[in-house]
Amino acid sequence: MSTQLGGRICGGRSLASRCHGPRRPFSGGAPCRLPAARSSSNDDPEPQNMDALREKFFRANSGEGASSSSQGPAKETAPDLNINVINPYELGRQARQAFNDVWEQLSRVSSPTRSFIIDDVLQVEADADFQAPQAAYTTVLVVGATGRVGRILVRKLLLRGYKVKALFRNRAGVSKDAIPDSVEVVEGDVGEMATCQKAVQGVNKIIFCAAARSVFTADLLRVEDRGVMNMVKAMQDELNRRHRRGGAKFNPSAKRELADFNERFHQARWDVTFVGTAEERAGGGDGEESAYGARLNSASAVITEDNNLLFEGTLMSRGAIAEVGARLAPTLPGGQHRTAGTEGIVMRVRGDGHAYLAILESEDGYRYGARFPTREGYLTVRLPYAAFRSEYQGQPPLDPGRLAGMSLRYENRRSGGASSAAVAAVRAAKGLGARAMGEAAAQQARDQKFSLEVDWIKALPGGSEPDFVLVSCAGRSRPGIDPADLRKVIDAKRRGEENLRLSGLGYAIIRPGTLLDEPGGYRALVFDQGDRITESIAAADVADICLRALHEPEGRNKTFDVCYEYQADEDNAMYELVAHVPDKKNNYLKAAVASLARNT
Amino acid sequence: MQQSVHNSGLAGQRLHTRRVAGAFLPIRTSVNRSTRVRVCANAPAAAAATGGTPVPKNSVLVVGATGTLGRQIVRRALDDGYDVRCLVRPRPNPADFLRDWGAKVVNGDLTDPASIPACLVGVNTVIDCATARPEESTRKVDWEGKVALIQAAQAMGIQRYIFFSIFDCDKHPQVPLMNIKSCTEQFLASSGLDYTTFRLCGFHQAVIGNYAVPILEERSVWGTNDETRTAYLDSQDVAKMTVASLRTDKTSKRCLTLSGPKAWTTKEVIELCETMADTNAKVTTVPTWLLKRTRSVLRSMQWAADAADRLAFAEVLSNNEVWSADMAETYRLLDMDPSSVTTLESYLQDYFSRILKKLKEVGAAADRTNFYV
Repeated sequence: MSTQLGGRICGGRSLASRCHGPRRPFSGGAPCRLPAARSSSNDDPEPQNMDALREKFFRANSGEGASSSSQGPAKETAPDLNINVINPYELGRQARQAFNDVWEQLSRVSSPTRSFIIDDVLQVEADADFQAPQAAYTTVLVVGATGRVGRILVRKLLLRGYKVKALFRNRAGVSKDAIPDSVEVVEGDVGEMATCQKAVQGVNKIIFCAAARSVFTADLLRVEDRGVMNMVKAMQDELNRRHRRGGAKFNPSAKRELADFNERFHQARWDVTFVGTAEERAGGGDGEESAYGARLNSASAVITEDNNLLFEGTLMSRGAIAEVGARLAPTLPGGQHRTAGTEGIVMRVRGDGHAYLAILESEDGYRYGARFPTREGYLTVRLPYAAFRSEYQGQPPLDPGRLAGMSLRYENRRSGGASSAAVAAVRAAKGLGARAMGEAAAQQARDQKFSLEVDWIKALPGGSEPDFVLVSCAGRSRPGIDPADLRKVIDAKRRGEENLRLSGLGYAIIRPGTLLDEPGGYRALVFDQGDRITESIAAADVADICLRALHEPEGRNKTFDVCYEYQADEDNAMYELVAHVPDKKNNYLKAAVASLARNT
Repeated sequence: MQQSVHNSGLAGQRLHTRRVAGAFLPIRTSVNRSTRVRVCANAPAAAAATGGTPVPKNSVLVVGATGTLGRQIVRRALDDGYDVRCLVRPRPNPADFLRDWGAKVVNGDLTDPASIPACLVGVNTVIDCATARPEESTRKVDWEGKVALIQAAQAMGIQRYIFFSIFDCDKHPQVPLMNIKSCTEQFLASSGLDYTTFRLCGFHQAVIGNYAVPILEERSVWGTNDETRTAYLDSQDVAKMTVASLRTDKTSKRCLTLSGPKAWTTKEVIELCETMADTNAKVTTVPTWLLKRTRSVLRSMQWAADAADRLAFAEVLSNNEVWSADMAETYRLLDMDPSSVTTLESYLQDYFSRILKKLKEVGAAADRTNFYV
């Protein structure tokens, strides 16, 4: 056996001398299977490899093998004393393996500029810029994934490891490479509820960056208005279903009922609590006054056939108020606290054009009011707790966990009929014509009568992050669209925004300036509220903002405009523009949005 | 025709120097002359599109997208909103990670020049970070392939061309890869394209592969005993700089060196890895003369010519140079903050902490034997 391995042993022996001196000539003798270069490069730097090789080859001689394998415990009791040890193919393979190892090391050492990929367990990617720790358990639905913003957004989400679902109208119409295979595709139109329901299954967050492709009103309504509405409703249903299935007794992201006049419970409790003037409320007036006042001011609360609370009446005195309300039980039937953790009130009312006041009363008796206008017809009113003002100075701030009562109030702010003669005289002195006086009188009469129908009142749930990000528009003109159409588009988009705000989901509404097809992340951005921006912005920057807004608590329930930074012109120089550079490393969105007003 | 004559002149010039330097390689030169491909290139002005759809300004073709640098560039460009196309060789099992990120993958091969022009349709920028694999011929891919790519880019009217080269490649013409890179730089400069050449010194990722992984696996680490200092740079930072250079005109028709903040020798790097991994590495030092001798032996054999080229770098190592350059102007041109670049220590620190944590998890899971308790 040893003669057949002559070449190898010769190499080993020359190794034993361990010389830096003149190289040995090629050890001829037995046919050397190895190429000449091998033994020449084998002088010094192969002790470990040679030991391993020796161990492999001389495993039959367990004495030698065991001595060199100091690391292995004496577990090789079953010596591989079979024919494979002297199998020439095996030997050749091992020799080639050894040669490859040595060669690889040599070439690696000698060319440090050549880098390579290690597909190894030990290789861990250090991508600080693309890390999103929440991405592992978040599924995002992107509506409008073929648009300018949507395309970039899908790529950014995939880079960070989110699970992405995309809604398409026509999957076959989109080229295969435009949407990667790892994106789950739902086909259908966003204007149909069934599609939206299918699309939101398994989804945690929605980014809506779709827009109507044309300026036809039907298109606009379908995508911007009804599309958002459908998405919102489907999302809420899905969250509800998910929580029910998960076994939770109540859904933390659902609106909580404060008053629903379909139910007898609430129908019975709500009643007119006070009619009269403010002085009577503050302190007791004498009987005569109140009797007289009772004739002038009256209010009633009844339940209509539509199961709405109808609150109507006439207030003729000046400064008269009428209130309808009820005490709130602190816990809902399911056991959940009614208002703890909520952030506002939303109600569905049918008004008459007057402004009403919603009043919340806490357990300690403090009252907080928020005024809201109504119009003829049904509307949904959203009142965040931040909008409620204390009735008296020095009250503690509104604590949603300790609400005990709620009421709606109508005040007759204008002059009552008692002093109309004096008012008429004043007006005549001013020289107003008879028609103007007639109008004033009609206005006065209108103010005295009021009628408000309330369908339901719910509390908006609180949360930490936005669940629905909507990309709207800032309202600046874009190329290829004339002003009348622009008006239509803006209206439709504003209606969509309103649908989202009233839904109860945590929202972030981004209104970018005109979109450009530029690479993003380069120029500084300005975040503002109030319809003042004039510049454009790259679609990639908008996509970046959407991405960051998904997990930004500061961005919840905020609407803001964004565009490239620009120099404010002279008229608007009062307010300072703060620009933020969209760097990948720092969280610029937090700083930018923290100063903006919430619930706008 | 004018251009192709010029090309052959350049290639012929280089081959001429080789002929003088190594008189024992007649076979290789004749082989090359017969296999050189003539790609007729028009002057770039005439190649401007006279009609049709305008090319979108944010479309990028990345050649060598599956490599260390290439994939970082693809990620960065995708994140910044570019439409990225990757030139990838056709494979039975293709690398799907590029598609999963949202880049478009086109099939082509640098050694087959006929496959290149189709990939350049509708592309505004070409970023070339490809190089030959160790088992491939440097000459075919790095010289002939690149020449074909540049000529096709001229013909298709590419607006911007980014090329990656090696630090001080013009100072070491005896190393074949350096020679090829410097000739390519000159060719690119004379082509009339709006180019930017970046000369790189070394990547952190190479340090990981060469030193950190063997230390963690408790294998022996091979190093050289020379004092050449290399300023390593993170490939993600290089990607960031590359994508930043696409935005401005300040870097057009320039050759910039990208080097890291500090230059390290092999010994220092190994020591650094040892301190961070808290082990002692088994270091095998390969003397430089050994590499040179091996190379000279291999060069005498034709079949080992490519292998000999790999070892040619040993000549450079013995010069004990410092591979580093002043980056102040580069940062200014690219509008970047010098302190935003990752240093080798922080990179290795991050890597080792994550790896050791992962190993602890894996080790802890493997130690668990009481499954039924």
